[in-house]
Amino acid sequence: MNNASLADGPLTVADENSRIAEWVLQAQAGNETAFHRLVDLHQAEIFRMIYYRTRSHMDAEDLTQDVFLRAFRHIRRLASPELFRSWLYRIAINRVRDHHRQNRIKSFIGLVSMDDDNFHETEEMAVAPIASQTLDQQDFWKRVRQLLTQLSRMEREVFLLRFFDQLSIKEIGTAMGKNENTVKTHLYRALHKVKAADDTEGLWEGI
Amino acid sequence: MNRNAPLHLTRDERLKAVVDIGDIDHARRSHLATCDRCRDDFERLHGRLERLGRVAATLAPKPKAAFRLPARQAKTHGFFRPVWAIGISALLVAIVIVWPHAFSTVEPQPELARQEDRQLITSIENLVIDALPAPYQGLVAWTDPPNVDVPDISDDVRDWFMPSPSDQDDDEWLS
Repeated sequence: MNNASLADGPLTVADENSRIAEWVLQAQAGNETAFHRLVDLHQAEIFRMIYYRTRSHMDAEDLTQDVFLRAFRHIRRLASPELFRSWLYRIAINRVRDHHRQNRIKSFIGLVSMDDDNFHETEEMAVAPIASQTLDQQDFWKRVRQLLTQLSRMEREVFLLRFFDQLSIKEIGTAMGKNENTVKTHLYRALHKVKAADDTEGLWEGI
Repeated sequence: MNRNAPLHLTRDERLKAVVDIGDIDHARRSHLATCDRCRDDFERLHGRLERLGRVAATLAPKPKAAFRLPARQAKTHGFFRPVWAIGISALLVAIVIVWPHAFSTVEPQPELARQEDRQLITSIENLVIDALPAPYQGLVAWTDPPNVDVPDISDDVRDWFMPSPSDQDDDEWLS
């Protein structure tokens, strides 16, 4: 069973990747329908990715729109269609970074209040729409916050991309503009800290 | 039976294996595949991390609407982007303002030119007829006219400098 599923897995992924690459090529030629297919495939995950980092539904909506607009404008620059997903994440990472930078400036002049490192729990976070069967969602986000605040900025980004956004090491490297060994090093350090936090504080109990 | 007791994976090795199982050496990978204890530890850690992502995805909200390119955005790529339109418009305006005659195709009509010549000659003849009195011609020329009496010139000067109403049209045309 395992062998069968292992054999089927890569084939499906390969098919999916070639289909995406074909849509990217069509979008590069100006085919909007193809671009909308790419959007339909990736919008939810990009939205989630941004939401994890901003903890605001409204900001996530706005930034997701911006990410796809930018992607459409610059898709002709994408030399390797098979890297579309990583490229999309790269745009999203940069947009989130810009968003935090703008918030820091606003915070500096007193327009918004922020916790350290732009990581804070918002009201939206506490009233997310779907309840977990195993864990109270408010408690879940608190634990996630506790986990992530143990990490440096790079470690947190790599950890989120790997385990929350489900990117491979290679995709993370492409998205962050780092080589794979650097990504692995940060991920390893992040896991060390996360594991230590779990050992001492039992952060993962119930997850 | 005489095999050495296998060394279990250390915590660091388990973490390395979670990051990338290819990063631990072949012997340790083999051990991981055969040792229940190490495999359980590895799978528990790996499973928790994967579950963390899955639960987060479940609890995160969904985007409200599917993204669609705005019509304006869809039609303004390539050559017809706004930046091009603005640049080309500015260039055209500059050309029209700086070189208004360069693109003029209107050539002077011969009859009109002859008429203009006649009017110019008439104006010159009128100037000769209504010439400045001799004493003032000297003043205008910055020469001292010899043996000339200087009369009360106020009226003459006024006439010279203030055109008559009948001359106004010519002056406008000459200007």
